[in-house]
Amino acid sequence: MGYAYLLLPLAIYVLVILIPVIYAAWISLFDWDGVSAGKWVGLHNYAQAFHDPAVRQALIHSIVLVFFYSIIPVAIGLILTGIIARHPLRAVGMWRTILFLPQVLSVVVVGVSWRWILKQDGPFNQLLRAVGLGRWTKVWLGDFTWALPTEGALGTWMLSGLCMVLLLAGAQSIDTELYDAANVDGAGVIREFLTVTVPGLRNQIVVALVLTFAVSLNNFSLIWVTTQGGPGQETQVASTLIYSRAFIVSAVGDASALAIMLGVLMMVIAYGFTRLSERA
Amino acid sequence: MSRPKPSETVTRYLLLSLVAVGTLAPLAIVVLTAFKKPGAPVSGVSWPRDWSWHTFSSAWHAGQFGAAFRASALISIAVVAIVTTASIAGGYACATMRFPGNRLFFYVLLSGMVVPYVVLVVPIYIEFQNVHLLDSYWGLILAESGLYLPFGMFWMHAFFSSVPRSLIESGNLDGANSFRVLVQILLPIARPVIATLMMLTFLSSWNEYLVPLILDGSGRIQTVSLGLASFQGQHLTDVPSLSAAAIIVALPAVMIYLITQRSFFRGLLQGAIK
Repeated sequence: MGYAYLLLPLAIYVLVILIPVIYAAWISLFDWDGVSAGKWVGLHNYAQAFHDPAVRQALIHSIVLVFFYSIIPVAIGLILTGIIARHPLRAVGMWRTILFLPQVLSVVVVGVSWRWILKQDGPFNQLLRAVGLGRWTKVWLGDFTWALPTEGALGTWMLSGLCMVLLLAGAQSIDTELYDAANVDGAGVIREFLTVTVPGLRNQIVVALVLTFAVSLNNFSLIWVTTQGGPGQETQVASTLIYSRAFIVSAVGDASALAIMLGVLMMVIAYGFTRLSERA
Repeated sequence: MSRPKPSETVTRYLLLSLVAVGTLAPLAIVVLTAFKKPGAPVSGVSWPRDWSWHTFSSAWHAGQFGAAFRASALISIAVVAIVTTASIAGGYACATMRFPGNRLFFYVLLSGMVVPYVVLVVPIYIEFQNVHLLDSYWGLILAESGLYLPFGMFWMHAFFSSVPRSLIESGNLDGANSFRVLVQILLPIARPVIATLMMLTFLSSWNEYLVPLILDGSGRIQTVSLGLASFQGQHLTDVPSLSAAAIIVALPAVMIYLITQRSFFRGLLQGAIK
């Protein structure tokens, strides 16, 4: 009986996920440019990936972005929630609507906007000059040292509000008597934060971490619209590397192997996350 | 409960305002710039001297956004319909019925949620090339439905799991079959959760860039995101036109969000904070 309900979801799943993944696993065993006949190479594409400096570099960049997309927004959200949520808040709806707004915008809109804001004659450098930091002005997304942290900061801008919305909502369900009890015990602001706010928000913290982590590894579009992985390879991450290998340099077998490896890695990490949240 | 001290109240709202300004300032800058004349040289932000609506209409025509709106609307509506139906059906079956493999089905479907889209879209491209689904509405609709379905399943499964079993059993006792239980008892109370899922799916599809970039490589179907990206390529130095185009693309999503935000957040927080 239950199978009838699964017909539509399973059909979509088989067509869009299962068949492509099996097909990609097959292709990953070939040296193939996507057009001419492929050459069987066995596991060579996988073995090569472990020694490929470009792959290692892209992974390191991805990890740096996880820090900016996931750790910093959750930390900002937690600290602000700790300060703000100790008492009922007025106009909750208005704050929520504003903080969530970046989630509603197309990543292309975000990329196009920030690309101009961060240009040499853009508003950000104008602001730096206005406050006397004129010697810090640069083309932020075109600078070899600063392009990657700048991409990260865009992620922090996009996702901090989302984390705050989640954490503020969770904080409303914390029993206010816990704060009073902590005060009676003479707990300071920091003790109160660590013993009442953080434990009370455990579930929301896990949700926020998982959500932002997924966004950070799905960040192809923002990077592609702003820098296409450049300057040089400075903002090349796992997803842009796979795309360029498949469609720019036409190394389809190689790209498929990388895609399979990234997929497996993500499943392992996700499994670790669930185990962790069950234990907590 | 202790009342906040006045100094504390000031700190709290000052901090919130700072975050709000930080969120809105970049968007306000883009809006201000869009009101300058098309092609006018722009350096930094400044108040537009004479407000020109003309930039919007010229960007609308130059970027052919009329056709892009039609294409994106068609795709989004189809994807929302498919994902919502499939998620309700699948989530209902996996959460409330017992049959061999119901947990396995759920976890298999869910595993799609943690895999980056690029990992799936490259293989989808290779498959679609063989079955001639590239550069077609069907291909884009099918691919996006598949990519968003795992989250939809997760979302509806969480809702159906939270429904008290007694409610479903009372329906069964009255002799209603599982479909009548779903339609007459469960869907009415699921409305806020379903509305939020539809909204999230619509936003994902309207804003999708990677899927049409890869599966519509010829650009035959110009979606709004593809349109804006290629508009950027053609008007790199025309900052007012670029800003106007960005606003044109963002506006439908922002309007729907502002109109539905009350019920949207009710469903979102009900679904995420359990």
